[in-house]
Amino acid sequence: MFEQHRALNIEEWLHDPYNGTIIYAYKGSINASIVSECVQTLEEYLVKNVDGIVAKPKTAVHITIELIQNIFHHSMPYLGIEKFGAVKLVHLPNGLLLEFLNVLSKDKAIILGERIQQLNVLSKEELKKLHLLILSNNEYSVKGGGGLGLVDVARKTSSKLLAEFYPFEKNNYLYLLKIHLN
Amino acid sequence: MDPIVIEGTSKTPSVNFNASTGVLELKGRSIPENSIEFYKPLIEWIEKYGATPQAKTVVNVQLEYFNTSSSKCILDVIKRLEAIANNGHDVVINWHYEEDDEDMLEAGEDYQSIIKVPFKMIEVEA
Repeated sequence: MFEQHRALNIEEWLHDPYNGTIIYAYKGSINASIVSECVQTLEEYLVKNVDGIVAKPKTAVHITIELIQNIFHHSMPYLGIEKFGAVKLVHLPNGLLLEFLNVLSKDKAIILGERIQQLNVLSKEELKKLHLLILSNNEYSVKGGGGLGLVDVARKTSSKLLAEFYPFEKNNYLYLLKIHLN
Repeated sequence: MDPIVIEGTSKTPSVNFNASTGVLELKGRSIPENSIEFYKPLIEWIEKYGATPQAKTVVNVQLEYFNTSSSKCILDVIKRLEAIANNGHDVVINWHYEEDDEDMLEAGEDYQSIIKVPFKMIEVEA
């Protein structure tokens, strides 16, 4: 079973810069326009601040695209919003912190928590093999990716994926995924 | 056979598939929310082209970003090209990547390891 946290105050979380600078913060409906706005804001910030926030700026953009689109495809209703999600991108003194929040049912949260734990212990070579296996297995999910997203993200970053799960209501969880890049 | 010419957008690549020259180009970003919808007509075009292809087909891929749903669709495109090569025609894929973009180089190498079509990795200036 994954580690559960007590409760998340979304407003407090969204506006906490953690001793850094918030590049982008949004909560609400995740649609195609928000995906574009988020990605464009990050790209512009990375271009303006060329003095090495992260070693691989394109990787940061790539991961952001993947994970915000993940919310777009998989989010559930919350606070009366059909495709609820939230994103916070923070420029820290030691890199970039990318955070993505959405709602999951309990069964999906359990599967996802276990999957992230598994990915976090795989070596680069094992992640590559898994990536190639999923890429070439001829299966598509309804959303198109066939489960490649998290493996791709894990492969592109040298840090671990940090997932936090906050239960609410009967069988739902807020799922917060954090990626630190430097 | 009519060519496919599609202008690029902030989320979809420019496409120029020309049956009379045998040159197929895909450039820009491929990060649409619905990749299958975008790639379906391209895959159908290649299947039709494969019936009477040019002696040599040159595929130029120069992508800045692509999401994982596009990566599955791009593999489908490349599989159709592999089928053309398996029928005895010459097919080469020129995979362009920016000099500092290891992710894009790695993505090309991934496809190269799955598909038996000659890949040429071409580094371009960022």
